[in-house]
Amino acid sequence: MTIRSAPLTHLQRLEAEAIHVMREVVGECDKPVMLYSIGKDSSVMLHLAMKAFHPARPPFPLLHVDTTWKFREMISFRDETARRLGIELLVHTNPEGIERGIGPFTHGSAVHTDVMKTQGLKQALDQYGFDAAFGGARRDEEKSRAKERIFSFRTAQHRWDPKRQRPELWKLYNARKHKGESLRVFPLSNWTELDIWQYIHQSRSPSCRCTSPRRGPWSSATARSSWWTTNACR
Amino acid sequence: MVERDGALIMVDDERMPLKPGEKPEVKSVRFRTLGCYPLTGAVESSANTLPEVIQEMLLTTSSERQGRVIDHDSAASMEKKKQEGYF
Repeated sequence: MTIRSAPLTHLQRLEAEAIHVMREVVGECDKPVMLYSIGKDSSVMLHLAMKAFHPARPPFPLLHVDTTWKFREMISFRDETARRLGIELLVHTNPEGIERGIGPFTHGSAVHTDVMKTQGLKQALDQYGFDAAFGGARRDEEKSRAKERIFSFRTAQHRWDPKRQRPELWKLYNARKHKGESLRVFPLSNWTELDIWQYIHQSRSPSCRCTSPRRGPWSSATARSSWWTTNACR
Repeated sequence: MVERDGALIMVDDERMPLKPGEKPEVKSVRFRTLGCYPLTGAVESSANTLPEVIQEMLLTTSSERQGRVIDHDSAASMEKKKQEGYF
């Protein structure tokens, strides 16, 4: 007798791929972390992490690199999410940036982004000794992200060389690192912006054990994500 | 919200200096991407539900990160930032 299962929808395929990637990293790496930047992609990534290791908590903390210039609503949502899900949340702000009073208005966006985001992220990864960091970047967002592999290797100085990337044939991911190297891993690489919103919409349907939708604050994408996550991740 | 260099910026706290002639207005907007508030442009939107957001997405002709000021620093600016260690 043959058992035929219904073919997966495209969202189920994307979900399965992301969960596979997360489990692969946890199996292969010593100390992973999930970068949590509070937006809709992070919300979906976190939701998938909760699913991937259910009923256990995801075996890694969340890390937010706080530039101190995020929307206020993002920060309250961040803290509320970590509390609600019972996940350790690490927040890092570049102390040199604070000392120098770096900000987008006084120093310009390029300096601000380099000091508070790029340098801040590298400091935090070094400080805790993480060897793999999940990020919610997607290939349809931007052209340099489009050519980046799902498992993206970084040198000991965290540099990315787009001309030295490993092939990722079929679903085989090679997570072996050279000494000092680390990994950035993008489980949502193949999702589009539309997939993200459709998944958010679908995940709170009654078939997914989710509570019924309720009206929340709607002033930004965070609020929309928070409204969804509140309902979907319980 | 104020319009600055073609981006709709939300005046989220008192640290944002207003330029001459800028007067914050209340607008119905949505952020397709979230970052530092002074560097993240909103899109005007009246979507109130997830299906409405999806509907907007199906009809939009602009890109998601068009509101990100840091993506427009120079050509291939994201790639340069990524090589230096940015996500």
